Formats: sequence, C-alpha cells, structure tokens
Amino acid sequence: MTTRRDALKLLGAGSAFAGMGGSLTSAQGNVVTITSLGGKWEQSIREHFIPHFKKKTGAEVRVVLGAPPAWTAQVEALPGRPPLDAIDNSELLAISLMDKGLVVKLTEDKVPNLKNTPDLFRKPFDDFGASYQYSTSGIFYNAEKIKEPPKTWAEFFERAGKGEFGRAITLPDMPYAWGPHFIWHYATALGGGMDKLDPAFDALRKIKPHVVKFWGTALEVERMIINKEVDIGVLWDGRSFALSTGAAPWLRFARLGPHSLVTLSPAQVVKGGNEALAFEWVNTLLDPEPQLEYYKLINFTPTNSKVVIPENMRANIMPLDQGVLPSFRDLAKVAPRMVDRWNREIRV
Amino acid sequence: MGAGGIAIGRRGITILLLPVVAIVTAGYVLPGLVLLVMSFGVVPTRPSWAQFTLEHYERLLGDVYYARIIGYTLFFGLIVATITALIAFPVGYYLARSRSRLTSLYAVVTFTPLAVGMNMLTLGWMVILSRTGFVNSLLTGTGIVTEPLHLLYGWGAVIVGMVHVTFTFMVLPIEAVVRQIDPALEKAARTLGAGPLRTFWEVVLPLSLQGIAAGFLIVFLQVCGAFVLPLLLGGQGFTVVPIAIWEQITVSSDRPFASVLSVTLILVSLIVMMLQLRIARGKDLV
Repeated sequence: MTTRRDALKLLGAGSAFAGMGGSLTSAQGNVVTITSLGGKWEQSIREHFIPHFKKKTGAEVRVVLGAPPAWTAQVEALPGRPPLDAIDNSELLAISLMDKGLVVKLTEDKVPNLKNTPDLFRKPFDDFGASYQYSTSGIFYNAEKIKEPPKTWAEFFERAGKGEFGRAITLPDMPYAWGPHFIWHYATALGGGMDKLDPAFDALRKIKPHVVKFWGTALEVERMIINKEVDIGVLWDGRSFALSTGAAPWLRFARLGPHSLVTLSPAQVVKGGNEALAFEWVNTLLDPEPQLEYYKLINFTPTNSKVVIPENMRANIMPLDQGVLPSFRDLAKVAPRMVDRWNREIRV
Repeated sequence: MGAGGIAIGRRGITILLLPVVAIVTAGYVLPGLVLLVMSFGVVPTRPSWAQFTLEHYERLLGDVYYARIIGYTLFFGLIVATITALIAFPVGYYLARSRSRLTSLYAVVTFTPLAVGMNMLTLGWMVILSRTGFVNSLLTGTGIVTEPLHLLYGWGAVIVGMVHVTFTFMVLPIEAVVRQIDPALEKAARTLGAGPLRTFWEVVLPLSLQGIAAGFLIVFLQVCGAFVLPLLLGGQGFTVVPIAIWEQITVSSDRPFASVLSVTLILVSLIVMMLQLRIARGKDLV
C-alpha cells in the first residue's frame, strides 16, 4: 500500500525532475534564438533574413514560432537565463520588457543599420527596440458591391451605422493584440483622444448590429473576406494588398482621413541571452537588402530609409505624415479601461 | 500478486510512477501553484509578502460581468455535455451490442474527431457553415432560401462544433459500460413483459449511469476550458472564461486578474467534478 509519506516523496521527486527543465534554456555560443510569427512571416525570416545573417556571422539561427505574449512571458519567467535572445515584439509588450529591465539598449556601433532607421521607429522605445516594418490601418471593401467607398473615418462609421453596407462589416476585436490601438485611433479620428474615448464607443455601438463579427486574429478576417462573409471592414494595408493580388481579387483597400493608425514591430535584444549575436540579428532585420525581399512577400513597409521600393509598388506605401501613433505608455494605462468598456458596451 | 503475475514491490511502483508524477507536477501542480500565487498579486520570480493583496478577488466578486461569463461558461458546458450525451448514447450502445461488420467502420468514424483535433475541426466547421459553405450552397441551390444564412458566429455554431469535438469522449465510456451490462438482463426484462422503452429506462439506463457520468464530466471540463473554438465560431456576444483570461493577458496585461479568473475556473470545475462523481458513485468524495 502506498502511504502518504510515499506520496510526498513522489511529489518531491517529481518536482526535482520537473525542475530540471529550468536548465533547458538557450545555449550560448554560435547559435541565436529568435522569434517569428507563422505563415508568410516565418517564410520570409527563413528565406530572406536567416541566409543574410548566416552569410555575415556564420552562426546558426533557432526560430521559435508563436506570438509576442508567449515570448514575453518566457523572457519574464527566466530573467537572466532567457530562452530567447532576440524578440520580435508588439509595442506595448516591448515597453513592458523595457520597464522591467529585461532588454538591452540598441546602439549604432552594435546595430549599424539603426542610423538609417528613422526616429519614429526607434524613439517610442528609447532605442530598447527598433521596428523593421510598419503597417497602416484603413478599410478593405468589396469593389463589386461598394462602388463609392468612404473617404473619412467619420463617413465610414456614419454610413455603416445607418446600415448602408448591410450586415457585412468586421472590425478588430478587443482581444486582438492591437485592439486598444484601434479604439484610440477611432476616438482620435472622430474628435476624441486618449482621455475621451466616447466618440469611439458611441460609433461602435451604432454599427454593432451590422457587424458580422469582430475579428480576433488577422487570419480570421482574411478567411471571412475570402469566404465573402464580409464586404467592408478595418484591416492593415499589407494584408489587404496581399489578399487583393491573391485570393480576393475583388478586394480594394482605402486609407481614410484624417489619418491612419501606424503599427510597429519592435525587435529587441534580450538581456542575459546571446547578446552579441542578438545585436547582429536585429541589425539583419534592419538591413535594407532582406527588408526589400520581405516587403515583396508580405507587403508590410520596411523602415530602413535605404530600401528602394520598386516603382510598381510605391503607390501602396503611405507617406508617414498621414499616419499617427499613440503614446504607448498612455495606451498601456488606458487599455484595461477600454477592455472594461468594450465588455459592457459592445460585447453585451 | 496472484499466480502468473509479476511481483512489483513498493520501490518498483515508486519508480514506475515517477514519470507520471513528474509530468503532473511540472504540467499541473507547479503551474497551478504559480497561478495561485499570482492571483494574490505576488510576482513568482520576486515574491514578497508586501505584494500580497485580495483586490483582484474583490474585483471579481464585485463585478456582475464576470459572474455572468462564469455562468455562461458553466451553462455552455452543461448544454454541450447534455446534447453530446443524448447523441452519443445510441452510438455507444450500438458499438457495444452490434455484431455487424459495419461496427468497425462506425468505430473509426466515431474516433475521427480525436485524430483530427479541435483546431482542424473548428476550421472544418467554419468552411461548412460559412456563407459560401456546404450548408448555404445546399440551401440556396435547392431554393429553400434565396440569400445565404448567417450560420457562423453565435451559440448555435459553437455548440455544434463543441458537440462534434467532444463526441468521442462521451461515446467511449458509454460503450465501455454498456459492454459490461449482461444482455441477459435486458432479455429477462422483455420476457417479463417490459417494452423496449421500459427496458431501456429501468434496466439499461440505470446500469449505464457510470459511463454517462464519466463522459459528461470529461466533456463538461473540456468545454469549460475550450478557447480556440469559442473564439473562432462565437459571435461578439459570446464570451467564456478562457477568452476573458486571454484578453486580460494580451490586452490588459493584467496577469494577476487573469490568474484569478484561471483559479476560479479550476475551482468551479473541481467542485462540479466532485459533485458529479459524488452523485454518480453515491458516496462522499469531498
């Protein structure tokens, strides 16, 4: 018969056995562990960035697929012994890692391509991260059904709220990592701001009856578009252009006035990892040569000012003065309040 | 150990159990403890008593919204488990009793949800129920409707998907328990004048309750913890606790409150599990 003492011994042994997992962190040396989203992003990382990096350093690259929340949690769980050397992060999580002292500052001597990366893509993170791409928001629409697309955000919400587009609309959901960014942007475009979110929530309440579904992942909205579940909605430029030249030729994309939301993907070097190779990796992400190839595949705009975009693709790129960025620190503070309002006013 | 068996001493049992205990400890006990610690506002990597707070639990208890989504989650689990039990019982009974050659084929079909997995089944249902999918094509093609219906993104789609995903987990215990019921009992009931319905109600069903309860429990717990399927097939008014947890982590960056929701979900599930086992076994397990 197994006694309670035996059970406790077993639990202790199990804990010790389980604790051995803690040593399974990234090995230093000639290997760098980096992150990537799946799908085309992974394809570009493997086909464009890794060969470039290997040619320069001769080092091996280990790619961890997933999403920023999981990567950030891994780095926070093992401070000083991180399982990742470089992270491709979201803005709010990048600031969070920065504030916790878990990432290292990028400098131009260690990351030479920083000097060709405009301040807009570095300074929001005080150089504790630099974005190698940006995308801008707008509306996609089915050109076969919608002949006169809206020109401003106010017009979009007004016409959608009156049911002019039918029940065929989709917008980003709150659990989407950039959900709060969109709420802030709707509020700003409709006359509000970080401290005055009412215009956004008023507009969302009005169009809610005409929304098929608020999308939680970009793959979800892409599938809805391809299956013609929706005719109009809010999405990023790169993804819309990729769809319109591929699976959804009826699709068009329009940026609305007065401005578009700009989103960044800050690459960060994790403190205590293989920092030397991680700096090299971030430098590769900011390099104009693989960035151009990345743009051709993904359609998200490169940030290095030395990238020469082919003539036929230039029309898709938004001049930066038409875009706006929130203060990420303020947004992080307001986000819980946005979630609360969303749950009470939109999700009921 | 009886004749012909292999004698394993206490040490042998301990060694054999060690991998399982390690997996349970690493996969459930330790993360569970970390969640519990975090739910009181304590940072697991830099713990101190000064961080201890009950404010996150107070927030949960003081907010009707979260009480409602916990209620939705449990109700959703009960509905799916009930529907699955009703559909799975005839299949389990057939698989246990039939001697037809087709039984193996039915068994394979029954087990396909296990082989395919929840994510793939979710994508499959999205294709079937979409506006350009199989159901709408059939309805518009036959002239039953003129415009495609909105079949996705609501309770209906989520329930259909979850019933499909969890179907096998209900069939297996029912089949196992029906196999153990002596067919002579049913014959005796029929011989003594009971009709098929009365035989089922007074003989088969009471003797199958253990299997139904086991299946109900597995399905209920699976549904309460489901994330991908409710997220993708549910509409904007559809929120369950796992989605709320995800939202607190990814958007609000409020890990303590996400931990409170997780701990609550685990506790509620454990309470339901104990009640169900107690009812099924007729003895006190608490």
